[in-house]
Amino acid sequence: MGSDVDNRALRFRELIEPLLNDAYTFARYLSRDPSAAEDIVQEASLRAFRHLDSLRSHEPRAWLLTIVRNCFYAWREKVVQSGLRSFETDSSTDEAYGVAEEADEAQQDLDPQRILERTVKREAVREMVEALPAQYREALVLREMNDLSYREIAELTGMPIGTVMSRLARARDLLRKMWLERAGEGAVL
Amino acid sequence: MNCAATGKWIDALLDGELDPKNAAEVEGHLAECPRCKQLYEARRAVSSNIRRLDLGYVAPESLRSRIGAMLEAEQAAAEQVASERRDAAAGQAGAQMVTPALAESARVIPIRQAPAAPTSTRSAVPQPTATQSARSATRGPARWVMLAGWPVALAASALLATVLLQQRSQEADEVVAAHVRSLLADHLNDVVSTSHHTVKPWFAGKIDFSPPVPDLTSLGFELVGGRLEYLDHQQVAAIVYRKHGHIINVLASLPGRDTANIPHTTHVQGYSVRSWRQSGLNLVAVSDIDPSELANLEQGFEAPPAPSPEPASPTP
Repeated sequence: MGSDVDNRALRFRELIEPLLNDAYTFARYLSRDPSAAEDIVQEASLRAFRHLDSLRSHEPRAWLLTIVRNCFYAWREKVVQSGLRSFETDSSTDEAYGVAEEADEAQQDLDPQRILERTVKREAVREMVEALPAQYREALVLREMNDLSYREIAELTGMPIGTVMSRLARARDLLRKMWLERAGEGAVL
Repeated sequence: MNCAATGKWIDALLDGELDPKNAAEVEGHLAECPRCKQLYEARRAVSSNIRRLDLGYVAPESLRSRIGAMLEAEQAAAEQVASERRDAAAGQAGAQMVTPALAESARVIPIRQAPAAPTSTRSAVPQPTATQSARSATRGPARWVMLAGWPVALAASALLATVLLQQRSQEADEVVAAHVRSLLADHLNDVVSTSHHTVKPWFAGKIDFSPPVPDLTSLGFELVGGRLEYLDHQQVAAIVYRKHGHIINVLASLPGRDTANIPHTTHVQGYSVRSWRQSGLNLVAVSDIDPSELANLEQGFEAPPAPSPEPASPTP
């Protein structure tokens, strides 16, 4: 018989396969390693397939990305134990991210809008995103590329929504700073 | 709204995460504060540039084919298992008697899991691989006998319990979400008052029931105010208390299909949730306070420490 497995495979193709780009994007920015990202997404897909029943009324994208994140941590653990690579720890502060000092800096750029709106090369900006500290990078990718809501990001990362918000703010300001620095160095962006 | 408060909400505004009322307030400040406006524009530009550049990746073809192969392998393995189990079940049916207890425990499966007749989405449980062969065996006259027996029955009931728990926690999730929203968006109260004489009448005419608003100061719960919530298509009265700096939202609603299913006590994302029925209403308290405090609160609601048991009547 096995018609249930076939149903599950059908559901997987309908619900999960369209999200593979999202999964790969998230894994890629978390791991910053193209082949590791493939392994992570493959493992996540396997888990998703086997536990597809528990998807139920969850939003599939956030559900799948949660699995991807777990697989990423499992992969990272393995890599760290093998001693091949080290990872930054996510210990940096999450204190309420203020506005005052950033507003001052924004003030100094005569026209940040114009600089930001300049045509920029995708690869250069991807590098900048990859250069962000892990927790800011994660929030930014989930929001801007995976298009999750604050609540979904909070659930996925286990952070309060307030923290999600300040991480996003921080990520955007850091990115803007890098952007402006590159532009200042005369790099064609 | 000042600069500090606005700064906190800039990203929420540009991400469309603010409710209209707060969005209007933040926008109001941006309109008159060039500094904040500039910061808003800077972050918005970062956001729109990232989106315009489309920085996401496309899953490589190699990955897709690996996943496709994996899927096929999983299907093949599952069919293998199913066929072995079928053989085993058939052998069992011919060879041995099944005790009434076994049959009883197994009977749960076809009743609860009959895929053809789910009475509602709530009872439509997932379809575990462990019971595939069991279900396929329920057609013939020897249906009970052919069930694989204990292991399947146990697995199925454990699964059922998990599913019910999950569904319940989704409703609890919504309550917690309402709680978090109320704290997040500074939208804790529509009516601010420490007097239940003000808060209780405020609800009159706004909702078609009168929520209990007991005076619980003697228990250490200070009334902060009340507001209207709209939770999963239901109007809900939120009565807000504070104790030791913790905010407690008590959500009162008419018995409906939703909050009624929240377990008596549960935890969601570090928040305690406690629900009970009272005078024909469903009440749910949610807070980050110690769960035992919510038990005290419930007692306070059910037997207000004021002289009169009727919360609406004057208390000294």
